[in-house]
Amino acid sequence: MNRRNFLKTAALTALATAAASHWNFAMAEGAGSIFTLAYPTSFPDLDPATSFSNDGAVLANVYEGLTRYIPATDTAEARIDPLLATSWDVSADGKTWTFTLRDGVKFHDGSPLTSQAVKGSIERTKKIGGGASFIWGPVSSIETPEPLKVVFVLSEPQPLDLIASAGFAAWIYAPSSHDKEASWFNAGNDAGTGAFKISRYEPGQRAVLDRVEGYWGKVPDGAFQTISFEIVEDATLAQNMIESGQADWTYSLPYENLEALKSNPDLNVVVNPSFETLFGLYNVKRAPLDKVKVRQALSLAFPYDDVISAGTSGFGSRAKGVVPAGIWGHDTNAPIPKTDLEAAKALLAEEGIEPGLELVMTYSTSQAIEAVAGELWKANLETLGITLKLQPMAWEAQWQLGKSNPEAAQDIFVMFWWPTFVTPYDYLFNLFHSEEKPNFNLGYYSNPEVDAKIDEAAKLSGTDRARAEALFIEAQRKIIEDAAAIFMLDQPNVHIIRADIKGYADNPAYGHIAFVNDLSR
Amino acid sequence: MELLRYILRRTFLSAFVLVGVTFLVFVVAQVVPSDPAALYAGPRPTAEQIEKARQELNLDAPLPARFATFAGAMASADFGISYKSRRLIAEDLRAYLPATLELAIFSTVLALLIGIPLGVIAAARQGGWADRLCSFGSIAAVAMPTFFLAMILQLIFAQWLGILPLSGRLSREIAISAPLPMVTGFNLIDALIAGRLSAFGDALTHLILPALTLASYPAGVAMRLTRSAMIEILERRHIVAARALGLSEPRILFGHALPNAMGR
Repeated sequence: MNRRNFLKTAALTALATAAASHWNFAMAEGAGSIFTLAYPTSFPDLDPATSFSNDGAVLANVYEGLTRYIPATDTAEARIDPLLATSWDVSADGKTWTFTLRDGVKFHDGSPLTSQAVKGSIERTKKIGGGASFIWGPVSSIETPEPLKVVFVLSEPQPLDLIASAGFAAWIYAPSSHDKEASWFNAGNDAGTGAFKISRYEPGQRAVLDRVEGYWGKVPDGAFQTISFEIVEDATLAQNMIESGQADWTYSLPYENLEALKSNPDLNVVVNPSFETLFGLYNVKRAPLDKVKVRQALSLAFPYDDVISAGTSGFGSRAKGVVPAGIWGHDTNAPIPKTDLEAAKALLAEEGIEPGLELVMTYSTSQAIEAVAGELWKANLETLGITLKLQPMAWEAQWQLGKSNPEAAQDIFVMFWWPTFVTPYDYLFNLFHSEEKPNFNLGYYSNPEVDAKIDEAAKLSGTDRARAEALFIEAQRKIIEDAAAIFMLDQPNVHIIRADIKGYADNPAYGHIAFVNDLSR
Repeated sequence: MELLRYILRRTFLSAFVLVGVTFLVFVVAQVVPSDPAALYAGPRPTAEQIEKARQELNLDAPLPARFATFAGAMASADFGISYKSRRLIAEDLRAYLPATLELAIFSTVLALLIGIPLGVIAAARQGGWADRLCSFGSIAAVAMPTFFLAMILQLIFAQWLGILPLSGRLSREIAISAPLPMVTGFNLIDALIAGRLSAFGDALTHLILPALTLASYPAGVAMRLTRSAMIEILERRHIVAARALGLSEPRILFGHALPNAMGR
C-alpha cells in the first residue's frame, strides 16, 4: 500500500467509525421503550430476603409486598394501599392479622400467588435473619387456612400492615426459590411478581430488566419495555448523561448544580422531603453534657438556616424533632430552638461552664453535609469559648466507638436515620429508648417516661393509630425538652428526570426508587 | 546464563516479597479501627446479626490461626467472597480484569505508536518547528493530569462534536439488547469471535478516548526518549555514510537509526 492509499484508507475508516457512533446515538435517542437510570451506587445484594441497601431500587421493580405505603401530600393523608393483598383485618388485641391475597397473580416462573408462597417467603426471610428481617420479629406463626388467605399471629401488637409495606425484607417470592442460596439471586435470577424481571446483571456495571407478559396490575399507554440501571459513580458523568438524554433518571448530583438543571427545559428536578433526618446525639452519660442546660445551649448555638443553605443549597428543611415531615407522628408544632447565641451564653453561665471547654463530634467521612454542619457549628461555638473537635471517621469505626464505653466515647454522635418501615417507632425506639448495651441509642439517653410512651404507642400502632401518634409526639416533646439530641435538618429527596417522562411520583418511603411500571414516555 | 541467573534470583526474592505483602495486608486489615463483621452484616445490623457474621467469617478465631487460613487460601488462589459485592472475588476479577487489560494494552500500543514516530521526526528536524511543536506537545502531555485531560476530551469529542461516546465500553443497544457473548472478556476479541464487525467498531470507538487519555503520559515520555536517543545516533558515522550513499531519508531514519536507537 503506498502512502496516499494508506492515508485515504485511514481517513475513510475514521469517518466510518465516527458515522457509526453517530448512528448509535441516534438509536439510543429513538429507543423510547428503554428507561435508563444513572444510579450512583452498585447493588450489593439481590436476595429479596437480605437486601437492605440501594438494591431495593432493582427489587422494587421485580418483587412486590403485600401492601404499599403512600405518603401524605398537601391534600391527602398518608395511606396504605393494597398490593399483593387486597384487604386485611386485625383482631381487637392487635395480635392476629388476616390478609386476603389478590387472585390471579403469577410469579415469573408461572406459579400462582398463594398463602403458602407468602408463608414460605417470610419464613425464609426470617430464617436467614439478614438485612431488615428483624421487622418480622413479632410474628410467631403464619397460618394458611385458604389458598388466598394468610393469617399472621403476633407475640405482641404491631402494625403489620405497615411492616408488610416495608421496602426491605417484605418481598414475596416464588416457592421454587425458597430453597435457593443468596448466590442464585446474586447471579441475576429472580422469582418475583412485579412488572419486570431481571434479564441480565453485570455487577458494578448494569442491571437490565425486561417487562413480564401478563402482569396483573395496570400498565399505562407507552409504558417502558426495558429498564436499564447503569451504575455511574461519577456525578459529573451522571449529570452529562441526564443532560444529553442518555439517562432518564438520576440522583445525588451536587446541590449547587441543581439551580442550573432546573432551568433546563429538558429536565424535571423533583424536590420532596425525604424520610432521612440528620441529627447529633448528645452523650448524656458524661460531663458536661449530662446537664440539660449545657445541651440546650449547644442546640441554641447551632446555625440551622446556614447549614440548610450551605449544606443543601437551601433544598433541605428544618427538622422538627426526630420524625421527619411526611411520616405519621411528625410534629409540625414541635418547640424547636432558634439560633440564639446570647441565650446560649446565658445558659452556659448558669451552669458555670468556663471558656476552654472541648467537645468531640464524630461523623461519617462519606457524608459531606455532616462536615458542613460541623464546621459551621464549630465557628458559632468558638464565640462562646467552646472548642468543637470534628472527628470524621469511617462509619463502621464511628459506630464502633459509639457502641464501646459511653465514658470514653464521643460527646456528640452525628448521623442520618431513615426508617426500615414507615413508623415513628423506628426512629424513637432505636435512637432514644433505653438500651442495656448501646446499639443505636448512641447518646445513651434513658428516660422511663419516654420509654413507657414509646412502648405504649407501639402497642397501639396497629389498632388505634391516632392515639399512638399522639403518644409518639408526646415522647418527642419530652426528648426535645431534655435536649437529648440536636435535630439539624431533614434531608431533601432530589431526583432528576427527563421532562418527557410521564407518571412520575416520588415516594420517600422507598428510598431512591422509581416504580417504572407507572411511567411512560 | 547471565539471564537465567538473574531470573532465578528475582524469583527467589519475589517469594519473600509475596510473603511480606501477604503479612502486611493481613496486619493492616487487623489494625484498622473498624469492625469487619459489622461491615459484612450490612448497613444497619442488629447485635445478633453482627455476632452471626463474626462466626461466619471466623473472626473470633485467634490471630495466628486466621493468618494461616488467609495465607493458605491466598496460596491456593482462593480469594474468598468480597465484603462489598458479596460475590466470589475470583468471579469479580474475571469480570473486571479483562477490561483493565484491554485498556492497558491498547493505550500502551497507542502511546508507542504516537510517541516513537514523533520522537523520530523531532530528532530529524532538530531545532525546527516540528521539533518544537513535538517537544511542547510532549511536555504538555506529561504535565497534564489525566483526570483533567479526560474531561477535556469528553467535552470536545462527546459533548461538542458528538463523534465519540461519553462513557462505557459498548453502546447501550449492544450492551442491553444484543450483548456480546463473553469468551475472553476483551470486547474487541469477543466481537471478532462473534463475527460482529459493527460491535467491534463500537468497542473501538469506546476505547479511543480512555486509551488516548491514558496514553498521553507514556507517549510524551516515549517521544522524549526516542528523540534524545535518535539525536545521538544521527550524529554517528554510519548515518553519515548512509547519507553519502544516497539512501532516502525515511529509510535512514526508520530503517537504520531507529533500530539502533531502540536497541541501546
